[in-house]
Amino acid sequence: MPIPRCLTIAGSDSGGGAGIQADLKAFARAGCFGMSAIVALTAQNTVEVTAVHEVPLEFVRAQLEAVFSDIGVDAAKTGMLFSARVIEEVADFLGAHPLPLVVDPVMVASSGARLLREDAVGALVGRLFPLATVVTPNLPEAEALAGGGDPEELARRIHELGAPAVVVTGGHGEEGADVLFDGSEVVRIPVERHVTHATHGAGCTHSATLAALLARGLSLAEAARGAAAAASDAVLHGLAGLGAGEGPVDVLNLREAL
Amino acid sequence: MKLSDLGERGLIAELERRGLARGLSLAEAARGAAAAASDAVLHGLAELGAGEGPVDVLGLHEAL
Repeated sequence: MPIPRCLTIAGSDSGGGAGIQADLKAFARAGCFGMSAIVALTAQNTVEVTAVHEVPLEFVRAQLEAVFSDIGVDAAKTGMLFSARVIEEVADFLGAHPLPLVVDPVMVASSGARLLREDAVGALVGRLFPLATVVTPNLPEAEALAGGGDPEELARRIHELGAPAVVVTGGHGEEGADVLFDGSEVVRIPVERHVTHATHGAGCTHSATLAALLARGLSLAEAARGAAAAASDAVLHGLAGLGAGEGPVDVLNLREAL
Repeated sequence: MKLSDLGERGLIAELERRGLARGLSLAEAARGAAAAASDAVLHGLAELGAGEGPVDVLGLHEAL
C-alpha cells in the first residue's frame, strides 16, 4: 500500500507543541508521510507568543508548488494562517488543486495570543470554508464565528456560512463530545475528558489526525472519531512538566519509549 | 525540522544529539544513531517524488 501523503499549511511553533510541529507528529502517528508549507513563524513557548513573522506570499506559493509538483498530496489541513493575504494566496492555490481539506480555524493560542488578525476572519470564511471538506473549530472559535448557542446550533450555523461539514470540538465545553454536522446529519462523538495542564497543541493534533485519516480513505465520521480519540490520548499523555504554562500534548507517547 | 530533509550525515548528527540528550555516552549514542539511520534508510520511502526519496525513521509502512 502506498504511503498516504499529508500536507499541513500553517505556522510553526518554536516550542514544538503546536502548529506545524504538532501536525507532523500527528501525521506520523496516523501513518502518513507529512509535509509542510509554513506561512508564519512564531517565537513561542508554553507561556506566550513573543513574535510572529509572516512568510512572504511568493515563498508560501513556492512551498506549495514544490510539494504538489513532485511528491503529491492526498489530503491537507490548514492551521494558523494569520492574515487575509495569506488566506487569499492559499485559497487561490487550493482552488486550483482540489483535494480533501481540513480547515482548522485557528484564532487564538492556548496562551491567549491572537493567531489570526481580526480582519482575516472574513477571508477565512468566504474563501477557505467553501474549499474545505470539513471545518474544525473548538467551542470558542465556533462562538467567534457564529455567535452563541450549543455545539449543534453552532455547527449548523457554520455550515450555513459555507462549510460543507463542521466538527465543533468539545475540548472547551462541558459536554465531553465533538459534534459533527455534514449538512444533513448530526453525529455526536463522545470524547474522554482528562484533567491536565498539557493541552497545548490538542486542536492541531485533532485536525492533523483528521486530515491523515481522510488521506487513508476513511469516511468523514470515521476520521472524526479517530481524530477525537487521538487528541484525547495525546492530552492524556501530555507533558505537563514542560514549561511554566500549559504543557504540550504528546501524540507519540514519548514516556513509554523511555 | 523534518528528519527526512537532513540527509544521511545530518540525520546521524541529529540522532546522535538525541542520544546525548537522554544521557548516553558519546560512543553509545553514536552506535544508536548509526543503527537508527541505517534502519531509516532501510525503510525509506523510495516511491515518494521523482528524486531521492526520504528516509523513514518511524517505519510508516509497518503502521499501515
